Amino acid sequence: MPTEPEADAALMLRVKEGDSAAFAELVDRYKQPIMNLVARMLHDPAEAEDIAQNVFVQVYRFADRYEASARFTTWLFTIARNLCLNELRRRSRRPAESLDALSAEQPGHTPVQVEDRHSSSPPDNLLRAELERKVEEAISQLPENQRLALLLCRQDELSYEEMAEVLGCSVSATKSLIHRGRETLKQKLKPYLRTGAWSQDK
Amino acid sequence: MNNDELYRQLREKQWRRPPTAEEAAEARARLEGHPELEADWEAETALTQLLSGLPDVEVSSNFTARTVQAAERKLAADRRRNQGWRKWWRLHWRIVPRLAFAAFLVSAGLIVYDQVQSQQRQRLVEGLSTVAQLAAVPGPESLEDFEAIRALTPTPGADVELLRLLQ
Repeated sequence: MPTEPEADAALMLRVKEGDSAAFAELVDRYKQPIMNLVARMLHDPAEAEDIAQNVFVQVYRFADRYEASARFTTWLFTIARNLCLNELRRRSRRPAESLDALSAEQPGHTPVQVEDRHSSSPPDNLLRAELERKVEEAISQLPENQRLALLLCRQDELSYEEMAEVLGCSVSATKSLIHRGRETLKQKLKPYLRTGAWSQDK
Repeated sequence: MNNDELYRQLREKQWRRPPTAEEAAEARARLEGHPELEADWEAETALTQLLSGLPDVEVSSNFTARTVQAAERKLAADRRRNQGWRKWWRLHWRIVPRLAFAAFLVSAGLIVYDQVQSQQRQRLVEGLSTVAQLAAVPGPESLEDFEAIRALTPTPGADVELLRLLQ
């Protein structure tokens, strides 16, 4: 059975020949990590799906540019990075956009309270939802490059060298971005770090 | 390998995922006696667990189908745009304004050159006209009586006898 990277390259070679089924398989394989990255980069789950879809559309349109010698995941996440940054630039030129994105970027601003989907669930789920929201908010307030580095770091498919390639900087610069991002998060999430992770035990 | 370097490696490893029990034990053993590093390690571990606990963002159940359709539509649109004269235009449209600008520059250069040449010719003509007026050669009419004048008695020479008598 081929290892993941070889399977990706083989699928892309079929996509280059117009094989939609191969393309669908790649989309299925990477839609979740791409959605996670895009949604947290933009702090806008509603818009994230359109952008994530665009990432794969770009892959299909420009499949002829893909070189089998390169790792597909590096290429894929580079496209995702570019589209995310384009969207963030577009929003900065037109500030009257997503309220979630706006509120997340204003320090000290109290975010809009979102109704918990499990409102009738036990308190532990409410606490968990609250903690999720705090972590997401803290991530959204990081500078773009630190946020991107931190989110890429969560992708098991990418080594530090591949992350650096996606970010367009050196490995040491990539690690520096991750370190600075994490230091900021540790400060912002200090109360939650004391209680530990998602464990329900206190 | 010193403790700082070892700690850096352990920390970078756990940026990707929570440490295993063995890694955690090794870290504690290495960091014993360095309370500031121990505190940082605990904070790093807690943060990694927090980040790892974030749920996946929801993806629509028909995301793949919609994406494949969108991609095929986009590629078909690209192909239509690249057909026939449209293809030629898409490939060469950037050259047209450059050619137009180059033609403009050449025309302007030719016009300027022609103007300069014209001015030089004008100055030359004016100069020649001035010289021609100053050094006008008499016309052939003035030479009509040339033979008659030449036939006139030549100027008498000096009276030598008179000159001797006057001395």
